Amino acid sequence: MENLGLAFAILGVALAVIMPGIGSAIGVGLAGQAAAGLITEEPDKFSKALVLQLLPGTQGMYGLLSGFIVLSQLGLMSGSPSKISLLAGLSYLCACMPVAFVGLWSAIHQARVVVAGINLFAKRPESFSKAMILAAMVETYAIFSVLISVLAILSLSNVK
Amino acid sequence: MAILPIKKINIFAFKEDKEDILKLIQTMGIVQINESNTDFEKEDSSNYKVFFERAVDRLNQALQIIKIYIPKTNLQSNLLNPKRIILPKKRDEIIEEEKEITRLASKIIFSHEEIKQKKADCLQVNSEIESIKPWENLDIHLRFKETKYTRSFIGSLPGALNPQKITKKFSKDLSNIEDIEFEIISADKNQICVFVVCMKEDELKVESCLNDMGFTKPSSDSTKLPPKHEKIKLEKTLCFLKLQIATLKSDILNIAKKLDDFMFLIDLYSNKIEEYNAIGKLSHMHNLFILSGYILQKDCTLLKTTLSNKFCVAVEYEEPRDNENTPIVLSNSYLVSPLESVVESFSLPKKYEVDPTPIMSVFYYVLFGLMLSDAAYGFIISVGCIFALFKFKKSGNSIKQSAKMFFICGLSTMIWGIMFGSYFGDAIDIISDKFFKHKFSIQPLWFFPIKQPMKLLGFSLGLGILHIFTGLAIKLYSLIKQKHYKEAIYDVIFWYFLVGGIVVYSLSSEIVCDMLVLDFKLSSDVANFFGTTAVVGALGILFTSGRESKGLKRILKGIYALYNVTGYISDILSYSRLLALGLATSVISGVFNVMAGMVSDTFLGPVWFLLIFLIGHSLNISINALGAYVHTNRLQFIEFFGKFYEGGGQKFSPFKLNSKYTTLKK
Repeated sequence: MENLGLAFAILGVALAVIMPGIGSAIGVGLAGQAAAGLITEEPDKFSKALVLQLLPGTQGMYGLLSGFIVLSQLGLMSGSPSKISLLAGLSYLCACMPVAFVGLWSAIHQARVVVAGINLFAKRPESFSKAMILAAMVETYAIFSVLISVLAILSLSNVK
Repeated sequence: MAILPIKKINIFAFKEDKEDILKLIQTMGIVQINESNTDFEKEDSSNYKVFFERAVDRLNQALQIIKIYIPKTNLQSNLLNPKRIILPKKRDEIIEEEKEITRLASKIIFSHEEIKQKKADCLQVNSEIESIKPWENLDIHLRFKETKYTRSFIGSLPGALNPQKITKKFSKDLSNIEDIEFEIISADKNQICVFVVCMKEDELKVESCLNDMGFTKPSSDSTKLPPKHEKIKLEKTLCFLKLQIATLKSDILNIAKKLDDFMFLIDLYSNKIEEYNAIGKLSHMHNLFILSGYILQKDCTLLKTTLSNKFCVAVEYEEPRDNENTPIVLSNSYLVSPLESVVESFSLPKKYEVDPTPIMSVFYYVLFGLMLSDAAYGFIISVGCIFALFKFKKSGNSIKQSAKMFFICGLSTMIWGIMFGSYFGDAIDIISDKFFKHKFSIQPLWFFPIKQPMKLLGFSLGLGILHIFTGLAIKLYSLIKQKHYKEAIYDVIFWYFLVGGIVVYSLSSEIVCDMLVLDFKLSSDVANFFGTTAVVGALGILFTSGRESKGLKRILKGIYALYNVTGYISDILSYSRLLALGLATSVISGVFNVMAGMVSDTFLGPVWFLLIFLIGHSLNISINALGAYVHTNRLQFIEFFGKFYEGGGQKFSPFKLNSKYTTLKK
């Protein structure tokens, strides 16, 4: 039982990677379908459609990033896990929550904006950057959440 | 620099010179022709226009078809394929043959349709051949029914019954019939084709027995030929069809040699359409015509001398009216001009606005670099862009401009990377540790963001405040330029007081300073001073923002305006993404470095290391460069432009020669 803290911390890592990962997978999937629809009609627009499709993919990266920082702080990357208290483990778990939840939902909603943006781009190719900005508005909240998660995780480095 | 000054232009000339003058203006490409709203009569040129539009349409279709038959044809003048060069001699040839070329285009379209039709026919014939194959051994035709005394059944039974079963059933059910002949023509797993002959008096019995087993007649076929001959006939037809298709194809391929002609004609006709569009905008009276539009001030004399040298014309310039929505041309120095397209993608400035490009460009480069912040990535981007600049020397302007923009963005990324000691993340540490057993790391010029994230957060927010205040300053400048002094104080200065006051005041509190790791401490006098400024600003906004209204409504509007301070706070906080994206780049490259490092001491370690390293970093650079680009734009468009910029200007689009596919060599 003395390793319960570590277990909770790893649960945090898992959630930080799982939830934004799911969100990004759904999001990139949705956007990819819309992009494929566009490409059937206009193959020349592949590269720009690809850029739009990638936008909801960043949440997964943010999850990976937070998870990785926790792992390296726990010493798991170097193979010698540090012993941490239950309190510290739970703190890590909590610190991972912002990116986990916001990552999941913001990716899906961003994807909806991207799908609409691909429609916009199909009809008005000159509006590409506008479509991109609209999607970036949603991403703001994922960025805020990962920021808070990372700051919280980094500030936990001295809590054992 | 700025928005270039534009003049209104009116050209008066004789009708007989109309076409020549328009051609000349089109070649010069410096005048935007406008619909003149005078009461003079207009010429209806739509008939000619439609004629050429149809021709272009047909030629375009022909091009697409050629692309189907010769898949490697490059139609579009894409990045690597500059436009085709047409020599003047060739041009004259094409113009001479223009009717013939459009006829060929129609022929291609026709042949293509023909081929489609013939291919469908082929399919049908093929399926007929397939359906006749099982009957190949039958010597009589499939409709054969009876002779004077006998009745014959030709048809198939389900393939599930095998021949033995059928024979068994026959001999069982029809044992009392003597004169019956039963023959299995062919059998496979789908069907068993049978031929049965019996005397007419047994017809019913035999038929019911056959129906019991699921007898079906062959699908209708009206010919009187035995299947074998029928098949040969069909095969001949198929051969013939294929031959026809081949001929049609070779026709198309032959015509496809004229690809250049098609392309040139499309360009020529498109310009003709433009010309007719322009003619439709002219005003006519008696034997004169009037062309009105806009021209850049710097081109005025050039146009006037060129025109009056060749024709008998009157060219008249006038200053546009103040409220007139004149078209906009931006002109900036070499380093700033790439960002004009970014401004344009948001919205061009109105005539009386300040061109935001130069100031924006400074922030653009800085913010992009800060978000990507890796020296190696910046180096890769810059080198790639230099390469692109050389490669696309001859291509269109927009590619060169973006290459230029990302070159500078790459430089900025490199500088920030050196500041933060990030070279492929912490690749140098890992490589030196794993392969040389001696850990070596390059120290950052400033600090490691991952070790002092709060310091970078403070810096990011500070940069944000600077950015936003610069936006406000531009608003101040343009208000003063327009002599709206009161508005300058009410809408800008008070906000400076309020937001600036709050920011400095909050720096005096210990919590904020601790949080942002600032090591200075403001004296309470300074704090109080800025606190007072904030209050002054707030009061000013409260009493002036609703200045169009009176009484209570005015104060209520003021309170609402004051609420906007949350907008400023959230705008400033929005710059925290600089930290988040910067960390994302370095940490994720760290992830890939660690992954690569894990396999480095296995068999063929360096190879695996390199593989993971390359894949990981190319993924990271692309996704983070995309992120940096998108979010730099966002910060410019929302946070920065939101403070001062209206936009909504029309782009100056001169009447000029356009070419999609070809360029004429002079």
